[in-house]
Amino acid sequence: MAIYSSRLRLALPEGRDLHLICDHLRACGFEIPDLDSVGLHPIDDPFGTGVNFDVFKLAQADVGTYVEHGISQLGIMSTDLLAESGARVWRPFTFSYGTYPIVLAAPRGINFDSLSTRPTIRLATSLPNLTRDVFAARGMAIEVVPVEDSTTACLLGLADGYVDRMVDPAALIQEGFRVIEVLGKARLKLLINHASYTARREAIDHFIGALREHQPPTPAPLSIPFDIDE
Amino acid sequence: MSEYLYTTPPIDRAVGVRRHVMTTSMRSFGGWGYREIQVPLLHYFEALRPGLDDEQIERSFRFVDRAGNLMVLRPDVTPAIAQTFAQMRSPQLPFRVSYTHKIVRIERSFTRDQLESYQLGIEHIGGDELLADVEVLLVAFEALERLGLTDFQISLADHNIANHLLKACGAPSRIRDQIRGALVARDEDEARALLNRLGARSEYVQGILAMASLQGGAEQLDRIRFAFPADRIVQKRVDYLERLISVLDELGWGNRYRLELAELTGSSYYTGIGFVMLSQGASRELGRGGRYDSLIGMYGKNTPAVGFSLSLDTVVQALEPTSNLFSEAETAEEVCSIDPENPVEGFRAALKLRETEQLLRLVKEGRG
Repeated sequence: MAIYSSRLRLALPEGRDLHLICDHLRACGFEIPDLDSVGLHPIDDPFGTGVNFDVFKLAQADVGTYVEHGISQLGIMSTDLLAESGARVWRPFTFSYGTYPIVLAAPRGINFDSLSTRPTIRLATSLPNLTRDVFAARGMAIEVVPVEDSTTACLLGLADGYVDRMVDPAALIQEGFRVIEVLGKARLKLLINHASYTARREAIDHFIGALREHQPPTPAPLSIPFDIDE
Repeated sequence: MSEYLYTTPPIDRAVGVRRHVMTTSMRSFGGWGYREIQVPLLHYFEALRPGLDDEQIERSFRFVDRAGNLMVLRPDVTPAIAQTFAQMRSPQLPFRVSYTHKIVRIERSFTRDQLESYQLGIEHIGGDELLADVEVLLVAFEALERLGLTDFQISLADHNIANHLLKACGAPSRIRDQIRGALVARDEDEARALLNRLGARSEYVQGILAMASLQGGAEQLDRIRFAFPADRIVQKRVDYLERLISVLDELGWGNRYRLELAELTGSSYYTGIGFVMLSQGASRELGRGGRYDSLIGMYGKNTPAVGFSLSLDTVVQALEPTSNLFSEAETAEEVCSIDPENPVEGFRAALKLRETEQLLRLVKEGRG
């Protein structure tokens, strides 16, 4: 299923970090076109080394699958979604931006102790595998409700709390939630297909070198709205 | 009679490529003295269990038979061969066997979880370490080359060095698995974070991160050697790997392998070299192999061994787009019309064509 191509394909994730990624790639010499149109966008020889790229936009959760199967040699994806997909890819470069805490959150006033007294803890999440793994490692039985929109699931009573990537603390507070615990961090990584690297080592090394050279400064970490803060 | 181009659906074409892969590989294996072995598909779970790791058990298919025994369908061929060998009385060493076998396990696949797949490979049991490792790699090189995989590469690692350093750095088993996962994914940042959180000594951080680096090759060995000048196990393994790669280089295979010390995928029974076979045409590994000096001892008398297996599906995937096994000249077939009222004449014509090995297809007269 892998693609034989003299060009390197780079899958970009839709969503919040796309403009930061495009800025980073522009700093590396990529002339990124309007990505709203569907399909591959050719970028010829951004480094002046004869290596041509095709960039394209994908749903965030799909990037790993495309890279694992060699449809795209390169991709950019967050580690929480990558762990969820189970895609076997290399991730040799971490972006300085796109780092978000993965939090266990619940409506204000609920804490870990009050959750623990319930016969079953029901957690809504778009990361069901990661959530199961975290609580299984602690020996805690929880019921996972796999949903895309975990806050609505909590607000309407489908779950007691939720596990998700926190990208906007203000929105979390506004919806009446507070963070009970930070379970980990999601980081933005460059993904590489193993077999493609073996065949295109020099070009991919050059690309990673450019990303490293033009890495923007690390933004300040997000403040975590724990209940205790108020 | 008219001449038709081969019009069989792709599924039959893939079957032809599969047969080609099996025949060509087994011919290569046989050419090096590896006799074909057959081991059962169905095993008593408790008997096979010592050689299976947690992941293999989790992915296996188990059930209770009519007598109440817990059975398992072979999830991996190597433990089954190790068990068979351990039960043999005084086999002549080195014991060389090849196989083409079905395995049954839950495996991530392109579209869904795959259950059944074929492995073909060899096992070299009881030989001298260097000679056996080189021989097995040479058989792999030959098989991949004869299959027509023009761009194949083998990534070579050493499980002994990795296992030793991960234990020596003081990581508990769960963290060891996480660090190993980060190494396999060439995620230096995650490996560093895990080691720093653990409070590992700086030489272990440096040595283990040297393995995680994308920059493989002989320089990786230098960095490991330099990081642990007084560690006899590391020095001995580095000496061994340098010897192994110098033999491969002298034999002219230097452009077909690359030392990548983080290439630690595969079963937990690997104890020495480990390797993965890759081709750009295949989305995943063509196959993998390595040395397993403790596995046979789990079933009987300890005997060192090394081997590899190819995934038939992945090799076919890598070959199919470029395969010329069904070129037009070879696959042009003749259509023989048979008259149901007087079939003898049509069949006679067909038999005459078959005498010259001509491909043909019989159709009822009056149909296309």
